[in-house]
Amino acid sequence: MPIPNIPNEILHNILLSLDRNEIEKCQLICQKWLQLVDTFVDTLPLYKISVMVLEEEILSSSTLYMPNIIHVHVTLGRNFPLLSFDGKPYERDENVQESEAPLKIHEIDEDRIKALKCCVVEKCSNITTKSKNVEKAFSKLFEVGGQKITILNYQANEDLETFSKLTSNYINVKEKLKSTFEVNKFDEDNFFTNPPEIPTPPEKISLTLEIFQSNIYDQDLQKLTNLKLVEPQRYSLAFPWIHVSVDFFKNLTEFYLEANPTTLVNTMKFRNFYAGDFSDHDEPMGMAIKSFVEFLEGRKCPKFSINLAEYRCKKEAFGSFAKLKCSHRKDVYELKRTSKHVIQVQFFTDNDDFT
Amino acid sequence: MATESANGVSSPELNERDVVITTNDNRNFTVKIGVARVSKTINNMIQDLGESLDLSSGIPLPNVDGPIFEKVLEWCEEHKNAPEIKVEQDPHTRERKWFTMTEWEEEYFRKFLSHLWDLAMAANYLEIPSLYYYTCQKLAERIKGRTPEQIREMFGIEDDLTEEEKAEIRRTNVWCTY
Repeated sequence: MPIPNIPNEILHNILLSLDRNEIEKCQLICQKWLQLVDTFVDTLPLYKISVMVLEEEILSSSTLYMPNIIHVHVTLGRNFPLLSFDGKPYERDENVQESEAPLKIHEIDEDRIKALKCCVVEKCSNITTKSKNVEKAFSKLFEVGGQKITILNYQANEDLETFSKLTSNYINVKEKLKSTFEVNKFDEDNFFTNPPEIPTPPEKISLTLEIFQSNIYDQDLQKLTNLKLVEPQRYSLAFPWIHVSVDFFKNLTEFYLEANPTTLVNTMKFRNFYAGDFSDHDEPMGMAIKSFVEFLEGRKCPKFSINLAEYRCKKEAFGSFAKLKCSHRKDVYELKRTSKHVIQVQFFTDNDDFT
Repeated sequence: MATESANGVSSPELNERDVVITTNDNRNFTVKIGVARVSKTINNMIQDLGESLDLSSGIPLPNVDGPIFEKVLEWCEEHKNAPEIKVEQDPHTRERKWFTMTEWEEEYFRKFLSHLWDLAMAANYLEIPSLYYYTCQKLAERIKGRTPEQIREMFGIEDDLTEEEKAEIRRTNVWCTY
């Protein structure tokens, strides 16, 4: 089956049926195929990384005079080796502000980080630390490797600044496009061969907040509005703490009633763990859902209309819920302000679903 | 009247009429219009020609030769009533979902395995999406799981990359398992 002079269009069509690994292998066939992959690289299939986790590790040094070494590890799931960033030790060097200390990339990892451009990450999350190294690693990955992430789970530190920065790219899509078209940067001739890069936001962005206490304060909520989210339906807020009071839901509802609905996150996630003494129940029910139901029943929600059908069915299920084993369960409630503005409140009893 | 019926796209009588198609090696094929129309290129010609279409003097196909056209016609005969194929891709990885082929189609490609490139080119020129996409998938199937050396040998491609170039490719494709 000798190969005649095949038009690139046909070879391109064949590559589209192959996975990324096969495509990169095809680059080794000959000059023609190498250039072919180069030409069509923006349309060809990508690697799929199912999970990417950023985690900081501090290696204590053996002597007092040597600073601790900080690594930010990026686990990329099966088939992909670990990536590491060397964080500059910050604790013992008082002259360098923690936020200024740069993250060093291992030489060997630089190619690997660049190669993330041809990957799509299904789920990306970080493990909270007190330092900013993880956040810096995040920014670096985004900057060097592109941003093709389907689900982003971000664990916020004390402030939401980095998160704002991470998402600002998506927020600025409109401005970016505007500047591309209006200012002379717009390269008309090469629009199709070299199109302007438009960042695509993840389909789902979950922001886990460790910053709040169970009493939710106005200024904390204000921070949420200040995030200036684009398409808030993509986002969800996750509250990992176990004690969620009735007042929390009350404050939250009030805040949502007053704020501009187009800037607010539509989904709230709660971990529905058993916490406390429920001696009058055979099986304990989670604190979060208990507070929520109390809130619904006590307040009667004058301004919010509850999706009644759902509530009734959930309420019935609730009676038997106490008798069930609390595993692999997800309860969903809807609070409707208008038909267009609905807050979804989700309760998870399974930790894996939550994060 | 030939004019009216040639323009009527779904006219059943027209589909039963014969048209002569001449390939680049001057072979004449007498084909039912309903079969020839599986090719969008031929269909457009029939429609464009309209009243000037003379069914007996035929349509010339300067880019396809007889032996390949014969094979293409076999496909068209089988697919004359087939619905349009649906090309789907993974929304995240952009990888195309592979088509499931019928037993007849599998047998067709087994029979013409050594003509896949010609079939792909003819199907592309004649605009027969089903044949074009399925042939490309068959070719992808041939490439999958083979080493670059095996692919070169199979397709008779000359190795014109230097060792340095190959090393560079291997270095940048860090995730690739060859």
